[in-house]
Amino acid sequence: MPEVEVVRLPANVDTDAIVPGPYLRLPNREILPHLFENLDPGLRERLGPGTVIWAGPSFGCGSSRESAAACLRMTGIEAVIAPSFGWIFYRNAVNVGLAVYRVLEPCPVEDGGRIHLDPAAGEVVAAGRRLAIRNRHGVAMDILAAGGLVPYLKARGDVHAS
Amino acid sequence: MQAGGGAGASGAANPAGALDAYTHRYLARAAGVERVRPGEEVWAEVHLAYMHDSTGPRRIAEPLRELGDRLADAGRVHLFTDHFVPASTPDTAALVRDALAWGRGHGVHVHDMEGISHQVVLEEGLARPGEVVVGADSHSLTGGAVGAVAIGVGSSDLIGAVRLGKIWLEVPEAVEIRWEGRPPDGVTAKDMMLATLARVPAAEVENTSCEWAGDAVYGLELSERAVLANMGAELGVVSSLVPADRLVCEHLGVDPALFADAPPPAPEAYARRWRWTADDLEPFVALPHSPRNGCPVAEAAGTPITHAYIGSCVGARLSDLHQAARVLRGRRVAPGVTLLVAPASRRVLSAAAADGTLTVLLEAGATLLPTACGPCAGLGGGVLPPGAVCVSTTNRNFRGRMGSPEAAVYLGSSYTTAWSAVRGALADPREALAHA
Ligand code: SF4
Repeated sequence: MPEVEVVRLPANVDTDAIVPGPYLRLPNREILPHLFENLDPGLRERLGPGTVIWAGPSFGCGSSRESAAACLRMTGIEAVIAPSFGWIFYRNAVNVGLAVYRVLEPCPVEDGGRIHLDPAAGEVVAAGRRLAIRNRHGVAMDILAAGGLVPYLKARGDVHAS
Repeated sequence: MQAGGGAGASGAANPAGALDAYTHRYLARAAGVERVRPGEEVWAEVHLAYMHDSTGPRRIAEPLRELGDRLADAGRVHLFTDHFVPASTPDTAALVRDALAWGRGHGVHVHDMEGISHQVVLEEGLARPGEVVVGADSHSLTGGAVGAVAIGVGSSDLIGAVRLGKIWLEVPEAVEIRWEGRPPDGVTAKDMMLATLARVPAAEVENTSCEWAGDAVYGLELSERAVLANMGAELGVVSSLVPADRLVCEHLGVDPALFADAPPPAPEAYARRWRWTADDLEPFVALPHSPRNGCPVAEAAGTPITHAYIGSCVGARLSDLHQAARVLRGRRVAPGVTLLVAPASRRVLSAAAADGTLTVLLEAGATLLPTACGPCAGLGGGVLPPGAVCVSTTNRNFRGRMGSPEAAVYLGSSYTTAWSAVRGALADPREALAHA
């Protein structure tokens, strides 16, 4: 069960806070250094393998830009945890293979604290508490497990058979 | 996985009766299940998938090749050129060329320079009541004008939609927005929409599917209903649907018994509802830099303008040009004001030429732009310089969208835009109509 570091974010972090609008013309790898620039310029540096974002409700509300999810995935973070997500951001995240987990309880550790993330068991262990991941099963999780929609479709036999 | 299919028109029967919102009835049909509930996941059959020169082939060609480069049903896929046409740089010209080559090579329907995608989808009757429409553009909600569940998606979703012919969806909650009464002369669907945006708190409507109701909505002709559907994008909803009535069914040659006579949803079908009357609604404008900054135009009247723009997928249909002509007939655009007009499609342009509307606009001093997106998203000719103050019939006035970040854009109806162009300042168009 991997231990990860938590980067805490507030409620209602919108897609514009994730990827500021003016950078949308750029390819994703060039957008990457500007991630969260307007929210917290130091934040991008903290995100990578071994970290998760734990945000308040409505993470990723706002526009439909897929680059918000795609760039977050490119940082290498393990997952984004929040009680709720913007509808389009959630599906974009799933489609690009960025793990998004709904945990209803507020984050029990401070920013920079460590938790155990155990998607297989469907839970997060934080400050000695076991908190359930609510979106454990279903289509979205199948797509996530495959690494995103394109790999998922690739793995499906009937795509080639049609 | 839930198999799609089996969603023919005969599926319009509604086993759950009035307990389900229209959106949920249609999603259930498209998913081949009896009922769907908010929060559930379904695979829905996609009846129409479309893309344009900016979001289409340049982004999906490569991943589609990885998936065998075949489409589930090319006959349901449409490609439009509208964002970069006519091209103004060699790079965008090449992009358009490549998009067209991809479209023709893959046997999809290609609409080259026929007009803005969302407009042509309605004109050609491509979006139909009760069907699921998926477009790779945030204003693909426009198909909701005829009672389709029309959603805007990103490139991965588009790939899935064209490759598989189905789309996975988490069923959204439904909300209802009801306008009763009848808007006074000079007050349009655009004003109803800007008022709605000003009144509905974002957090209460975002990520829901919105359904429009009430006499004032059903009193609107199709081109005006399209405003309510299109600007669902600005409301932040997943889809924005005006349930099909007889007018729409007749227009599309659909049996009204299937849709127009369906039992209306009970109040419990909706998570939240709003209701206003249009009887005393005034012309609205949205102040810079958000479509939600709406107020009656009277409150901003007198603000000097430098530019006026009648264009885009939301504000340049024949009805918009008629509204503008009604105000501009026999009048001139104020000195120092640039009025640009980009009809939403070739069909709109032809009709406006045939019925004399175009002559009225040109004689008033308007400059005609190609039937495409133009300056709406800052990509085509006609963008705004620093210091410009523009009143525009478009749907978004975000800072810098139409050109310089130092420009200010006010959104309004075609009446308001045309009359402000004549006055050289924001003005209430009812002044003009009283003497027209
Ligand atoms: S007219 Fe404007 S809003 Fe409509 S599709 Fe074109 S760029 Fe988008």
